[in-house]
Amino acid sequence: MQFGAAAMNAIAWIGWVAAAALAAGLLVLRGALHRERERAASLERGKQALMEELTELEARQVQAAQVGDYAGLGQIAAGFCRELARPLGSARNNVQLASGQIADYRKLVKAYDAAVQYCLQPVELILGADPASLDNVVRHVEGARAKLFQARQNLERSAFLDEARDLLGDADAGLTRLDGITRELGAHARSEREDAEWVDLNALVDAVLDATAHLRADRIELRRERAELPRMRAVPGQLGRMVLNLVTNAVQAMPANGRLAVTTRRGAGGAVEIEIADSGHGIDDDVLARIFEPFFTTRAVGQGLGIGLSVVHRIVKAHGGSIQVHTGATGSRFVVTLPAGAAGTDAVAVPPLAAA
Amino acid sequence: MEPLRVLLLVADAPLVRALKALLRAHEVIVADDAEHALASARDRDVDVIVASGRFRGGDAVALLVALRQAQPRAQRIALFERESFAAVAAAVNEAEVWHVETVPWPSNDVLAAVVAEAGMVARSVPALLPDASLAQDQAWARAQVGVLVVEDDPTLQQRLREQLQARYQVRFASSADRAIQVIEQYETGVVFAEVDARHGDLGGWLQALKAHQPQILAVAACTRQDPARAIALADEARVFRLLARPLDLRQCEQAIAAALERYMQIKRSPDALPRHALAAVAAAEPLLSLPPPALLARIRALPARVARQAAGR
Repeated sequence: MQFGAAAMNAIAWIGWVAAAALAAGLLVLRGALHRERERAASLERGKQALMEELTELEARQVQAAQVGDYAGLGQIAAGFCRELARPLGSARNNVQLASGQIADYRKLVKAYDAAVQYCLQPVELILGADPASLDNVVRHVEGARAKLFQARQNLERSAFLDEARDLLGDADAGLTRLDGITRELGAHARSEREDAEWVDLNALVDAVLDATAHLRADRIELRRERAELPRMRAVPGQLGRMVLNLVTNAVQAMPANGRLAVTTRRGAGGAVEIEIADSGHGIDDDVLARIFEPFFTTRAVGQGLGIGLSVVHRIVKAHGGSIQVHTGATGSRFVVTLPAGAAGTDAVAVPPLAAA
Repeated sequence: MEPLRVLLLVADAPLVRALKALLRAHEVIVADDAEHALASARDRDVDVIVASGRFRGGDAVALLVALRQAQPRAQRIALFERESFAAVAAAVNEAEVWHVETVPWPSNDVLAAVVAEAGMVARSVPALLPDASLAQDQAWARAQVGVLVVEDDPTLQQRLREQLQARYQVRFASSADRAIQVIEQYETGVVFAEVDARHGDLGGWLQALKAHQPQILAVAACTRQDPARAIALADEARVFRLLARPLDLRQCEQAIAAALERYMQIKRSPDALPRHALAAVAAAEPLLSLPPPALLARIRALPARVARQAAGR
């Protein structure tokens, strides 16, 4: 009986100890679970904060890109104004000069009229004058013939009318150019929409080169090579911005004199390629690795946001294309390859830039 | 006035037509390459050379530089279709042009009048040729004639002082007002001015100074490299040399040496002064604005004061 009671006691003790251990284990587990939950919650909070920061950063980048776009738009507007002013001023000057030429021609006609009048005088002399003065009449007739001949010759030889015609022809060419520029400007304004449409890449590149001619001035020689290209499916405003940024970048790489070569050609598999090459000093390796990063710039503070090439990268990506950079001591080449898309199909679906 | 002989160095056909029509009262010779231009300038004894754009064998400015040697009597006019500060500065510094104009030009009448005045100066005012005897005068000139530096940046003042003080009688002024005081007191041959001074644009001040002290030659340093303002400094203020900031001190010294040399040449041959004086023909669209009335009055009074000072020396 004693053994039985002792065994019972021992079993009870073991039970108590086991229950206590279980309880302790449960407590430890609960604590661990609580800590795990707290860690998970903390991670979730961290993730949330990171997401918020990321969203804010993206919003700031879009904002900065918009600021850059406005700056680009101002640049384009300034470029267009200069391009408008040149043919307009030339046409005005030529119209004034042609008017002067015509006035000079009128003077020659008047001189001819005066010579004709002078020729008529001998007739009056013969009709009403003393017959003895016939010698005077003969002299007068000879003089009159010479004057008339000279005046007629002056009229015939005068280049005034031909020159006036040429000047007006040049003015007409200037006005036609003006007409083209205003159409380009209109097309650019329309292209601010973010819809993909069929784009003539050569015309778009030429329009950007025209609008940025003032940046090149006399110091940078432009070489433009173009192949026949199919119309491509793209967002014209974005594509224009991309070419503008690459051209601006190339011009800025040549602070003194230089050469800008812009080529458009067919690439492999029906793609189209735009190559923009400068004769600057090239890009250092450490800079090259970062050129497409937003806000990365080698220029001084206030001289650029450092978003030009990151915007280029986003636009190329949004159009399903690729960009390659070749650089060396004699300059840099940026080659953008874009899928042309088949005529009549929406081969390239382009999301809005901000979402790209 | 007898018709002038004008050489056009222009390759662009519409521009040639417009200029021929504009200058129809004169004998116009057209050249579209460097060789032809040089031969025409020498053989035809031209009065005015108008150049624009690029050619076989060089651009307009390079050709004008060569023509300055070949036909020094002729006055040179540079036209720019796409002007830049560097190109305008090269036309002023290397080709010493009489006038710089944009294409298209703002007024036919003004450009025609500019060419007529250039031709009149070319015919009636002797050209200054390089003079061997001048070297002997250099030391004397440097000792006697002052170079006035108008610069309000103390750091640059110090750098210029170190660069120039050993060779020239350099005086410094940190304002236009103080600069006038220096000119009143000392014989000044060259004014080196930072045009974009903190207290305002000195372009109009240089113009007023040139109007009343035409013998003083100006070297203008520009922080703002605006081609339109560079053209205004050349045409409206007749600056002798145009430099861009940041300054290359060697270039500064060369510009000052050339200006001082020219000042001495003018001093010996005052008949040549109209070649360095302001043009009578006003700009079609003036850009420089005159200094405040009080300062302008002091500039106007300068000739009398300078004469008194010279008599006292």
